[in-house]
Amino acid sequence: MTSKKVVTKKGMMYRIVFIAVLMAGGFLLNTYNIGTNELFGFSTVGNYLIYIGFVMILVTSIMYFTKREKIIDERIEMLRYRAGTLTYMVFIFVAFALIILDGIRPITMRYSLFISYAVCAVLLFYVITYKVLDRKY
Amino acid sequence: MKTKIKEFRKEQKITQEELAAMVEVTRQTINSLEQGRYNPSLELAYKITKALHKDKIEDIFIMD
Repeated sequence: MTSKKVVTKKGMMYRIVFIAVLMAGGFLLNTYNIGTNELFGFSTVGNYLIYIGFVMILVTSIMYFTKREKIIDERIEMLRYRAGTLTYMVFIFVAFALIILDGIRPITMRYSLFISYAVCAVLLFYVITYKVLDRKY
Repeated sequence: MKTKIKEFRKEQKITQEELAAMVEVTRQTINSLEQGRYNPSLELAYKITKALHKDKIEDIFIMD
């Protein structure tokens, strides 16, 4: 099974609409002072959404201007599946280990920072696993 | 699984990229198949057999 990923105009439009909604939501939250708690290092939830919007604009622009055709074949799908499964298993194992560690010595790190680290660690582990499997298969 | 992809590909003067384009996979997949690191699906094996103008899948893919 093979599929070719090309950045189409329709796909680009959906992305632009999504970014616009995200950023408008951010501006609205800031305007009405909703979500003023700190989130992932940002002073408000609105600022965080606006920042994500800008990052998405950057990524979408790069995707649009490079316009590379990406082939996804069965081998790549197999690599994705294996990397995903392995990452999931490790995530479960680490979560279990952290529960035990928290019982021995309480983790006092801020929740938002902890989740940020966890998301980055999961993504990094997935990328590394994918690269290793890509060399193996 | 052993394959004769490289042998037949060289015989027909086809590059890995050309064969990859014919069967709609990446060049890396063709390389993995040639090195025997990856076992293809029946669909891909069939496509490669046709692309290399062979009659049977067994002509190209040999079980160890």
